[in-house]
Parts: sequence; structure tokens; C-alpha cells
Amino acid sequence: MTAHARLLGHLTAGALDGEDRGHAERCPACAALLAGEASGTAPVRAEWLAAAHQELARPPRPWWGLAAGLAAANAALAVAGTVFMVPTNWEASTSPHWLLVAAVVALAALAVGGVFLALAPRRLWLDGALGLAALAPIALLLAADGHAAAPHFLDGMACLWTVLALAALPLAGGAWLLTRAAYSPARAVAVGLISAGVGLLVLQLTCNDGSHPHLLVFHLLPWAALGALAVLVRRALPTWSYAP
Amino acid sequence: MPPLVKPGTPLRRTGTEAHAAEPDEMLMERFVGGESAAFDALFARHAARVNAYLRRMVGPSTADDLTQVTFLSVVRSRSRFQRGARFRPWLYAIASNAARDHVRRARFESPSNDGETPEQVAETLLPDPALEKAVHAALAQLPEQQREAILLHRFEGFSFGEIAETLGLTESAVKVRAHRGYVRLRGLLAHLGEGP
Repeated sequence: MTAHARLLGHLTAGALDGEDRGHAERCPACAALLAGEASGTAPVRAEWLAAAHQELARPPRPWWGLAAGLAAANAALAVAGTVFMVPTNWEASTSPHWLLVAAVVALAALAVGGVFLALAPRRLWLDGALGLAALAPIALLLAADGHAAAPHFLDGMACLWTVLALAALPLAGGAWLLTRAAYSPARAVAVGLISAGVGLLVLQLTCNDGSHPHLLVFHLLPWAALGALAVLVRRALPTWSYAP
Repeated sequence: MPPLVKPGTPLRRTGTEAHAAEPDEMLMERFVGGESAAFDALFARHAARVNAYLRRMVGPSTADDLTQVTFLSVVRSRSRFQRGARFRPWLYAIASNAARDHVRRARFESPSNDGETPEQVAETLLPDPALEKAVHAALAQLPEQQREAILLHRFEGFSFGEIAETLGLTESAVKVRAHRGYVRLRGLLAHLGEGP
């Protein structure tokens, strides 16, 4: 076997642990390659550290504090939206009360608690946020009584615009918070669905139309579209920090 | 020309010397607790290696900027470091994310531009032996995901478990990527085996 072939064998073996590393130290060809690893090390620039020190001078803003701010804003917006639009669905709906309460709890958990889960560094928590997002439409459809109260297209459009309008501020805040960690499509989808969850929550309390087509087209479709929009928005924004 | 410091040279003697024997995780814990000297020690320990990794990922002209961005991210996102987690996979996850984002944006701005050409990367990385040049040029031709896995495994000495932690993948997914990368690398370097 030629020296080149031997070297190639060591390089492409894919397992330079233990024995291979020992061999690489004895083999001149491999030693040259390992030296190449060291020669790839460039001088450390003092400006890198200076930039970090400049950043250190700023007061730290932990992710959970910012997430708490967004969660509080979402909660306030949901309350304001519900009060403004008058919560009438409680009396109008023929669904069991406990189902309505369960749907509201699921949507509130998504719009408020979901913020923490989606922005947390742990992947498992993000999975929790996506789980909440998957649960929300199920709860919403199960709690619907099937009664069509808004047969006109324009009535339905009012619901669609409500979801979009109530998502604008949470989405803007969520997108800003997303730039404070590395780009992750799953995280962006979660934040988009959480932002749109505010509108779903308000409509759950105020919209009297419990027909499934209405809920699917005018509540859930814009909700899902905002999840996709969040990915596009996040992709276009610059990243402030690349931490996971 | 910005000032250069030799690799491994402590930049703030008091801070780095005091922490010389401490594990990364303890230093990071101190840093999160507000001790900036602990960050200096981490920087002195890892900056050169991270820069070398990024040079192999994206080429030398961008690697310096991305190294700075990587350590800026460490400072900015120190609250995201989880107690009990290992520091090195977290640090390299940041560097990998920065490199990926750079490549993605470069592609978006100019679809024909994937950063530097493999030849450019190889030339500046390794000054002489033609063999090393060929090896690194071949590495630069690998798809990003495979290159990432091989660089971390082969050049940074990460275990597959650590790479999985760094890239947010399962260990078996990392093994598949690395295996495919090694197979492809073998193909790209097959001509070397015909040498003397």
C-alpha cells in the first residue's frame, strides 16, 4: 500500500479515536495531516475579545424576562380584545360548559404559556409549545356546537381579520425575540401560531358561529397561515445571537 | 491591521491564570453569575480552535467575522446556557449556526455564490503540502451537513454524542451524515491512492 493510500485510509476511516490516533502520531504522513490541523489555527485577534467586552458592558436581558414581557402583552391584548368585542359565546353556545372552558384554557395556555415554551433554549420545551399548538385546533373544534350563526361571507371575514389584527403586535414582538437565538423554523412556526393564538382565544369567547366550516376557514386558516408567515419573517431578519 | 495575539495567550492574565485548571462548565457558570474574567478564560481557551473550525467551514475571509460573532453570541445569550450542559458542544453549536446562516444568506444574495471556492479555502488553510491541500479542497466540496459532521469528528475530536448535542440531532443521524461524508471524501480523494 502506498503512503498516500495509507494516509487516505486513516483519513477516511472516520474513527480516529484511540488506536487510530495513536497510529496517526507514529505515521509521518498522518502526522503531517494532524500538523495541518494545528496549522489551521489562526492567531486570535484582540478585537474579538474587545467586541465581547463592549457587549459585556450592557446590562444582560435574560430570555425568560423578555418572554415574560411578551406573554404579559399577549394576555393583556386577549383581555382587551375580549372586552372590546363582548364575550357572548358563553351564553349562545349549546356545547357543554366544561368543553368551552377546556377550549379557552387550551388557547390561553398556547397564547400565554406557549411563549415560554417556544423561546426556551431546551428543544423539549419547544416540542411542548408545538404540542400545545396542535392541541388548540382540536380543542376549538371539539368545543364547537356546529351552529352556523354567521352565514354571510363578510361575517366570516370579520373573524379572519380579527385573528390577523390581534396577531400583529404579538408577531412583531415574537419575531424580535426570535432574532435573539439561532434561526429555527420550528421555533418560528411555534411563535407564529402562539401570536395568532391570541385572536383564536378572543374569538372563542366572542364569536357565536360554531359551525366547523366557519371555524376552519375563518379562524384556523389564518392561524395556520400566520405560523408560516412567521418563518418567512424570521428568515428575513438579521440574527442578533446564534445561540441555540 | 488589527492587533494579533498568539493562540492560547491569556489576554487578561489575572482572569485567565486564576481559572486555568477549572473546567469550561464551571467557568461558564461563573460567567453567567457575572464574573467577566471567566469569559476571558473561556475565550483564551477556545477562540483559536473555533476560528480554525470556521475557516474550514466557510473560508478564512469570513471566519474571523464569524468568530467574533460566535463569542458575541456567547456573551449575549449567556442566560440560554443550561446549567449542567457541556460548554464545548454549546459553543460549537453557536459557531455552526453562524456558519450556516452565513452560507444561507450568501446563497440568497447570489445563488451562484456558496462562499469561497474549495481551492480558496484550501490554499489559505494549508500553506504547503499538495496532499493536505487536496484533502481540504475535497472537504470543502462536501455538502455542508456532511462537512460539519466530519470537521467536528475528525478535526475537533468530538464524539458522535457530542456532535449530536452540538447540532441538535440524534446520534444515529450524525453517524449517517459522517458516514456519507467519509464515503464521499474517499471518492473525491481516490486519485491520491494512485500516487507514489
